[in-house]
Amino acid sequence: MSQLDVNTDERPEPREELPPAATLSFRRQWGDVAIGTALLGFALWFFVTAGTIEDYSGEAIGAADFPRGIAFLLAIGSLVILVGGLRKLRQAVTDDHLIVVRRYRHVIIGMVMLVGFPALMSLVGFYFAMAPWMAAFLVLAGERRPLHIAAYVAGFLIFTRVIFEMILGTSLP
Amino acid sequence: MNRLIKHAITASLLLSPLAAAAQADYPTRPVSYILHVSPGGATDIMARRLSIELEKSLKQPFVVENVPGGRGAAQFAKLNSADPNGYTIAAVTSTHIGAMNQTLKSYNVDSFDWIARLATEPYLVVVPASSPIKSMKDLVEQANSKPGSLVMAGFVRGSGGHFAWEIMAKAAGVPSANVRWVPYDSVGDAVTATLGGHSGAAIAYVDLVRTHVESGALRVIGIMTDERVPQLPDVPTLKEQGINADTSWQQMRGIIGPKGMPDDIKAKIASAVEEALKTPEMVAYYKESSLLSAFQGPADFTAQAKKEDGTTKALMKDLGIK
Amino acid sequence: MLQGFLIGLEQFTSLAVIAGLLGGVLVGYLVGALPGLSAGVGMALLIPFTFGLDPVVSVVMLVTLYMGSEYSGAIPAILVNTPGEPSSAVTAIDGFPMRMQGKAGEALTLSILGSAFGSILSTILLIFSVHWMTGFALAFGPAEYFSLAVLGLSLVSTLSGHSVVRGLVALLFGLLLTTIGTDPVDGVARFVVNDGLLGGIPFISALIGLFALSEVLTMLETSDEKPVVMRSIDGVTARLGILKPHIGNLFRSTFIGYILGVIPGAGATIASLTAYSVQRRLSKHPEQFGKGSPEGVVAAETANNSCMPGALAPMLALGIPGKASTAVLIGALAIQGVRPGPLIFTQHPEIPYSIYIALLIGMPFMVLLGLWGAKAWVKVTQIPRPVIAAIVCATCLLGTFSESNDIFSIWVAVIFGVIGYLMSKVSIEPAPIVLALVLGYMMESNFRRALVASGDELSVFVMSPISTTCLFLAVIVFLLPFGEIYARRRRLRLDAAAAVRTGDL
Repeated sequence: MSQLDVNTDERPEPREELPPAATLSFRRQWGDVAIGTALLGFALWFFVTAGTIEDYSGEAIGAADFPRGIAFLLAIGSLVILVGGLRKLRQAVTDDHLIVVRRYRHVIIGMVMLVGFPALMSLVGFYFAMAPWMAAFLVLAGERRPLHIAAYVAGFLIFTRVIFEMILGTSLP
Repeated sequence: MNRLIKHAITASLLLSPLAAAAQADYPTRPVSYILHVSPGGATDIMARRLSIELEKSLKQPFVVENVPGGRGAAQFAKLNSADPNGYTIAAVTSTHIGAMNQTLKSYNVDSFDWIARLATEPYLVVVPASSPIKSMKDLVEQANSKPGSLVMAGFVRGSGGHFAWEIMAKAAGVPSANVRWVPYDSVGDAVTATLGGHSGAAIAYVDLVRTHVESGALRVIGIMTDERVPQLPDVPTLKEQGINADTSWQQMRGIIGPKGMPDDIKAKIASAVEEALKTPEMVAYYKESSLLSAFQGPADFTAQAKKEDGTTKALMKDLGIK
Repeated sequence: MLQGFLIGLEQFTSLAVIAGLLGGVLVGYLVGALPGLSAGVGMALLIPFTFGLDPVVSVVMLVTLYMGSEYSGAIPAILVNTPGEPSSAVTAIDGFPMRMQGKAGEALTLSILGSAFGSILSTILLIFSVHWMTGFALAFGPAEYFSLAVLGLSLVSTLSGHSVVRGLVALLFGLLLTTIGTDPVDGVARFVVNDGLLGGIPFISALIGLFALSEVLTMLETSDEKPVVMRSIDGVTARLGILKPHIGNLFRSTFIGYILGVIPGAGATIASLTAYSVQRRLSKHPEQFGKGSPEGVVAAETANNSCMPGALAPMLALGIPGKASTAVLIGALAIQGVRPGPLIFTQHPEIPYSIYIALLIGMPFMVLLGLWGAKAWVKVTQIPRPVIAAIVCATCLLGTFSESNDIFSIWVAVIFGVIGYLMSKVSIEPAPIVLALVLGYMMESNFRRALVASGDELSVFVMSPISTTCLFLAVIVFLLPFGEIYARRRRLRLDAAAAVRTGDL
């Protein structure tokens, strides 16, 4: 164990080696306000929608009661986070309370690409969707050599074909 | 886009004089057989067994595809969007007809072509061996003399098993509210609960209770069939006990296809199924799984599905289920 | 029993059985490591191959596959924060931070050795207690399941790191998600905005989204970084000593895993979460949990592997499929005309005993494969980060699809990926959400079931000793961390006061 402890101290500190990049940073409380509002909306949607559920069973606890109770509690919880965030926002800025998103443009494009994949796949099928998608994702993540990209994509598609379709017998559209 | 092309090809095929020849040759490529369940369960294994036999006689693989999403919703959607050319078929059970009337109302029995019925499983009433209830008469007596004292376990409200109980309760003169119907996530879970004494009785199938009956932990007090079943020869039918419940209400398994399949392709699949069910492998499998052989061709099966749908609708109205 | 073992051993003189054993271990290793392909799905995909086989060969193959995949789910969990099996999500909580600290080799070694220990000890427990455990498994009715779920959910206060409010919010968020789908009692659709949700939110897709895809987004932030350099790993013999500090943890986690395995429906994820929380509670370094604690990895991996033999107890002795994977085993045996249940020990003794022997002698193979594999796998960490991000992402998208053959499950995974990423930015951890996703349905359905059965009598939850005990423990488990926080604050205050008095400041 002692050896491990020594090693822990030697561990590389990746943050310090990072090259400069576009960075988005804002106070943590803004994040709290955003997530608090989102969860509050989510809880309210459930609470309201629960009212439309048919309740014909006549027991003490019906189909709508559980979701309602939980939505109510979640609304309280998200209000606590929301109000806490708002209150602290009025106080002075302390810099250790920052949310930092490095390379935020890459992250946003990544999110869009993730959500775009199932849409693409339902249009053109798995192989034709995955090949350009994976190549684009490799470029996004920072791999720029065309031959390498082609090799990785081809390798993955062959892996898919052999392991999933041939050995495991799942069929891909 | 793919689908457009596919449709165009199918349309041109159907219009051309080649179409008749193509249908006579059926199948010329693998057929996909879509299931609504995850791999490994009874329906899945039955389908895989059957597909082996169908491949032997039709000389093309029947590829079982499990699409368990949304309790049948994903399977219906996939089948509905497939071309009705015989290369996509799907498994169907009585539960599907229930779903068409409850959660999947965008479909009905006319949304698909009913190709062949494969088997049925009769419903039965099972109690723990230690229970004082020895026959249906005891059960009816307890239910009517002490309303609310009997807890009956089964699958979700509005399922085949629930309706089976309602049918027999009505025939036996037990008001619905006298017995507490407790829905479990599956019929198997309901049997387990009865085994543990958490419910006084359950509605189940032969296959699920057989080992426990043999080991002496459970007792079957009645079965909803015309004649006794070979796996449980000592169990009297409901009819023998004076309860005239509709014995055609059984859990059914069959094959459906997209709406608009050519009749000769349906007939070809149905006759291959009929032959397959007679092979020694399938006969042995049916015996082992306590399934009743109940083949029906396209016409009979369609009529049977309509009848089940009618019964379901009537029962739902009676029970106030929407 | 001795005679049974002889019958079982006799089976292993057949080459086909040995081949089945090795094949099962290998395929299990592969299936477990691929996210989306869980043990149950992997076993089911093999079923068509077993049609022509002898029952013993097929059961040995499937059981060792099950065993292998329960272990190897930890590999992607540690290396890329992608749980290969649902239960290895818990392994990822500490395994992945260890890997980020350059200790991937140690984490992998701990996970394989912990798995082996749990699996073997638990198999021995199974052999001796299989018949007693049946009564225990059957004692769980709706009231007991509800209370068990509450006990599980009460772990949230232990799991939620530094902010209890955030932990509770995450838990409630997860619980609300579990109410989506077909209602367990009335059968009506609730909050179903898409027909694909009628069966509830697909659990594996959600898990892959929360852990793996959100991690991929995090990777994009730093994918221009150089890979973390891996140090070499000690030789195999030296590595066995690595378990020494964890002996108590190993035994505890094994018992927790075995007991929770026996209860039908509880499962490996709950076992891992429980063992992890218990270890965190008892640890001398609870502050390291979630930041790369070896104890966390050992607890999670030992528990999920010891869960598996536990799950075999009700399956063999009662024919009850407690989980997806044992349901597949029952199906595979049914094809062969063998019916698990009370009579299997007299009618087909070769089946249970060859399962025991397969588990006992399959594990050493698993360990060898795992240790050899660990050396190869740590190299994964030297692959450039952009490539890892893309491959993990592509594999996850593929794995989620193949789990249900439905594009809808990919939608679920990507949406949860985005949600998971955003939540991690505001320090809302995925662990409480997973806890809720596993237990929410169990809690609600059994609560309502118990009330229907009792005619709306709430007293039903305190009538049974198991239920009462669980509820009582739940209160204690939930409140303990608060007591500790209070005590720590008080101590800090006292220390500060003392420091002021003695002029130490």
